[in-house]
Amino acid sequence: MMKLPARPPMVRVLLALSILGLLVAFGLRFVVDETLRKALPAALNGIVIPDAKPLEIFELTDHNGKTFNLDRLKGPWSFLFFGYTHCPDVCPVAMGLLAEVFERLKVRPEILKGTQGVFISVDPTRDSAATLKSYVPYFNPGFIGVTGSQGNVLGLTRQVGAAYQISPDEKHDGNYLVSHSSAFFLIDPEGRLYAIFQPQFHDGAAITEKYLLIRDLTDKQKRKNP
Amino acid sequence: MKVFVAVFVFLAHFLGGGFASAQEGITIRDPWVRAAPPSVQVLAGYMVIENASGHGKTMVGARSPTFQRVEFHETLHQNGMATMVARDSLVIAAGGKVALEPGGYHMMLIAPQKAIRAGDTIPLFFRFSDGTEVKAQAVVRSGTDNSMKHGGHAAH
Repeated sequence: MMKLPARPPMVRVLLALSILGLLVAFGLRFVVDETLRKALPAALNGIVIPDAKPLEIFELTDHNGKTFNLDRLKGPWSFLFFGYTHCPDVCPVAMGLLAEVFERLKVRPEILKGTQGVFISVDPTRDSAATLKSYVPYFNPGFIGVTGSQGNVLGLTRQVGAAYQISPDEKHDGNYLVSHSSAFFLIDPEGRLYAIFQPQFHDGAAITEKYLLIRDLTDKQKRKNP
Repeated sequence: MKVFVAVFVFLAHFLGGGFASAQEGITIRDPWVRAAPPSVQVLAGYMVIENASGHGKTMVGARSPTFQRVEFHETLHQNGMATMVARDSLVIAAGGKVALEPGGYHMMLIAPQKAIRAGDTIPLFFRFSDGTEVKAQAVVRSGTDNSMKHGGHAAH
């Protein structure tokens, strides 16, 4: 019987390299699969933010006088809009649009049930809880009006990146104007900023479609990783 | 057919509200006010102003017995914020038109003298720099029409 020759160093190296190569190939495939799985559908580009941003404590009041804080943004998905009741054009249009989205969501009652619409006033001088109570439910009886001191409002707007600016009351007649972000901010059930719908995306059918896409994706992920 | 047209024109002239009002070469087309929660102090009004005359016209003001004051504003998006800029006048070129639409130019109707409801008509008087005044009747519409400046989408 022939004696097997001892493996030369070259073969050992090649063997080691092949094993390494196989490991790398499997590893790469795993990474690519994960990336593809997490990749955002094109429809959500520019809307879903890359990493959902956890919100921190804030303290506001709803139109019924109850505390509205971070706990109220945990559990349901929340559409937030920042505006003021002396706003004739942008705010009624946006709230009407949000109402339209909620109307369209009626075809998915289980999703509608877990979604809330919130109007946060950036004009606490004129927008008391009582004022909001006669304004916000007009658009949808389930919508919640929220108010608080300037400082407390800033405590939330800063976190989501909503800007606002109150003009001086030059005519001293209480009819000053307020500039404000007119985006919808979508908060997930963990109280994280998940997506932002800028004004250019403001179409009832489109927002509903994108929101349902987000829900289908996240609900699927939750089933896989409970 | 001629009788029908005559009767139609006759009626249209008097029905006014929400249709076109033509005076001094100026036509105020489809003036409407968005219905708002009853307690609201400021409402938005929209319309298309057409100038069929041979020279430019400048609208310098508006009034309504239903409101304390009427102003013109333009919604602009600056620095990531929606903002309103007061406009003292609106120039409508000869043969041209200016549209006041959601998200763009609009009338700010301030301090209603009574509750405003969908279906109401609001008398409006528009003053021009040449001293003329044009009257129109705006219809108060419920806010389910959310078509924005760029046209909006019909439900499907």
